[in-house]
Amino acid sequence: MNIDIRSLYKSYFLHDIEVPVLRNLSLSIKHGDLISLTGPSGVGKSTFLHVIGTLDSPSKGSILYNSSNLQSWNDSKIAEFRNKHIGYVFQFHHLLSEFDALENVAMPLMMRRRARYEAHAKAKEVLKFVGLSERLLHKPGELSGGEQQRVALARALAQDPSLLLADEPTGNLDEKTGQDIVDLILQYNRDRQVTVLLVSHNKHITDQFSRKLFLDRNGLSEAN
Amino acid sequence: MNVSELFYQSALINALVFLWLASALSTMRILLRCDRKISEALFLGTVLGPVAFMGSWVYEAYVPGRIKKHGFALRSQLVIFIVSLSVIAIFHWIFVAGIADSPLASESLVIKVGYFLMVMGLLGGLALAALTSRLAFFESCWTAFLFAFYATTLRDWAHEVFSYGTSMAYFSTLILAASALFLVFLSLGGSLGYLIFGEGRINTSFGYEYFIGSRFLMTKRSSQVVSLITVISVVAVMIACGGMIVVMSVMNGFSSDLRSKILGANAHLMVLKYGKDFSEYDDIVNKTKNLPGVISASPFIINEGMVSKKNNISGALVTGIAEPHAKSSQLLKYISQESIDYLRHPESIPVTQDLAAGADINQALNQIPAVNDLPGVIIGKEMANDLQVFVGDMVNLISPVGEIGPTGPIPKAKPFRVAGLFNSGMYEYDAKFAYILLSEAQSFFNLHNSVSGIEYRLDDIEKTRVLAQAIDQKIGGYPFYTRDWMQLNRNMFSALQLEKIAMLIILGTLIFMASLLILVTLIMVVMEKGKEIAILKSMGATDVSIMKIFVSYGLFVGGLGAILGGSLGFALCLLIEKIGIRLDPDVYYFSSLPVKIDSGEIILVVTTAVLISFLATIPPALFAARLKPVDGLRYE
Repeated sequence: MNIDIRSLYKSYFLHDIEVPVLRNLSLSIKHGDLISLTGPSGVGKSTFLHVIGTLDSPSKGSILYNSSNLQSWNDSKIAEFRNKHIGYVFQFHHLLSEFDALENVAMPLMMRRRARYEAHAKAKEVLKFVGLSERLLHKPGELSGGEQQRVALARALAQDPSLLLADEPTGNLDEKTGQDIVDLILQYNRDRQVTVLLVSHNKHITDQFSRKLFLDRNGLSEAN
Repeated sequence: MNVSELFYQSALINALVFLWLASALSTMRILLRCDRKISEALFLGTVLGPVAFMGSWVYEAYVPGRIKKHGFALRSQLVIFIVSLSVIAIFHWIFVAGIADSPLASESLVIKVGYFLMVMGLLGGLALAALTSRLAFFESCWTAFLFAFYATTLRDWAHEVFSYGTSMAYFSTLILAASALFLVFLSLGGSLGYLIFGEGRINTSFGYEYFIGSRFLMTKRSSQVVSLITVISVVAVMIACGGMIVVMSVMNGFSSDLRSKILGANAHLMVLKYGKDFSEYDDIVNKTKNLPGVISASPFIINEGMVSKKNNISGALVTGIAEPHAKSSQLLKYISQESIDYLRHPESIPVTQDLAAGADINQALNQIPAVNDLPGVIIGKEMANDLQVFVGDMVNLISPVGEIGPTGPIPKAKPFRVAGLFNSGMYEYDAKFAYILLSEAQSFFNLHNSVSGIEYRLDDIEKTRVLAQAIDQKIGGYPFYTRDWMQLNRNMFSALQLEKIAMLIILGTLIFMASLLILVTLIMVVMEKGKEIAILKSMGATDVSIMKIFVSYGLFVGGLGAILGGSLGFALCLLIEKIGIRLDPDVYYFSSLPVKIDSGEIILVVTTAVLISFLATIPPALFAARLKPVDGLRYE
């Protein structure tokens, strides 16, 4: 997916005081780009990700997804867009604890009103890709940290997203397990030409990405 | 001023007021949605209503996006005007053009308008939700308000139609209740409409939402407290429903038993005459007795008097009946055939020892005719107890109005012999009524050849009104008129009705409280599941989907509770009917608790319980749907 971000501002209101978070950010993302984003804590990396992922709306400026502007869309349409095009992986796995791995991964497909067997077939396929075909019926509490994060990744990939957003997906994992996750993401990017935007503090990981962005109080800069 | 003039005049003024109010409220809504302060929105809305609204229109035209996304300003404004117009049209139809033509329709009109409001509310709510893609609660309130407003505008006239004779306060309560009913059904329709049309297209699927909802609320792993409360909620709804059904069935039993007792001893319909000389009764009986639906028509005389035996005196309603119409007369239900035979042939009444002993002396004194020549009287069981008489005993009937003597009217007394006793089960009847032959009554009360009226028994008491009109037509109206059993026993039945309504309100409150339990549980769950809601939204769950997750819980609890409660109530009713609970017949008229199961009412109670539970889920579900995903994801 091509994404065009033009002079983006985002601020919050805390007790009627405006707290600016993102100031005048512009960025152009091409289809299939593999982008890493680093920067000090508290500069709004997560907020930036949320805004790009339509979970939050910009205060000013615009984002064009394949040259369409979502700002005038209603919430349901945006939710549908999110369901079809945007996959999220968070630092904490954020799996639903009441459901087993298979159900968790099938969830976004169920939202598309797919038949259950169809959703489960797709979910099995993706779980196999992340190497968890043996753990389908385990609840998140019964999986290790690395496995949980792989289920979370599988859930995002089950959507067949055109944009994969990952917010420090390896932050809670040891180096080896984290690298496994990153390898999966890289492989998926190679196979499917999916646009990936990954936030990480780990230089070893960001080095593997073709575009490296840096966000701080002065704005967005790109290293060559 | 005639009604339609009044209507058009007030409609014009109202239209202006509404325009102002509508713009004011819409402006406030838009401003609040754009994160402006409440005080600012209130001020701009009320003081500058239409101007501010026009401003927001222009603002929207030049700065697309912000308002359109939050406020749906144009569309909601349009909807409000459409709704205002429809309310005017509906009211015009009800009050000026339409259904309220005949003033006699007033009693059933209240119910008709009630049903009408329910259906209109449901459809209106659906339409509002479909037009706005929102819950449209704001527009619903507005519509209900308009309804109340118009009803009040037309109060003088409507008052006459709905409640002629009763107080204004009653009428105001009616309007208030009607508006509340309208609002409830508008909200119901709006909520349903939002769940169906909220995603901008028709979507009635509940599949995965129910799947998630049931896991959230029923899994022990998720929260023991919640699943315990779920069970308690189901039980609460069940008890409320079951209790309601039992109480309503018992009340039904009471009222239908009482009705059959009253109707057993009384006429279904009477023809009466203004004035005192109702002597053309034979003619009228012949004219009307062959009308379809009439079982019997017989003249009667009813007059107040007393029955005495030695020192015991009892007040009585002395009733003269024509030759009892054999099998057709309901009277036979309570009076034995033997008694009636005795009434016809008093000479065959057995002579009691007591009487035989005194007979010679009486005859010797030549005060009264021989015992065998005395006419018969049938009295109730209670009166016989009071007077301490048995069949065959002699009693004196006393009429207050006798001949005029030198000192004024002299009461008139005449001896009768007790031909039989009856027991209708109604204390008042058994203690008051004394039946004698019509010819005896005519001579006793000096009525010559006239009667008090003609009583009719009909094969279907529900058709009484229709038959009354037919009889009226046949006999040509004035000086004759008809009275039916409902008019004759109005007090009794309206008291019963009122009692039933009071019970309904009390037990309805019970269901309402049970639904509060659902509400509280859901609020707890929504607070607990903020993170999960955010995750679902990040995967692309729509607001409507999130709502459905929680609504499905309410429907589950309400539905299960209502069905269990319905069955429980039904079973209890059957049990009471089968085993029977003893009552003191002297106090209650009945020897055991009467039960009458009305399947329509059971369905009504169950449906109402489900609907109330559904409505209770809407506020927390809406709260959940409005949660911003970012807030749920931000903090760990």
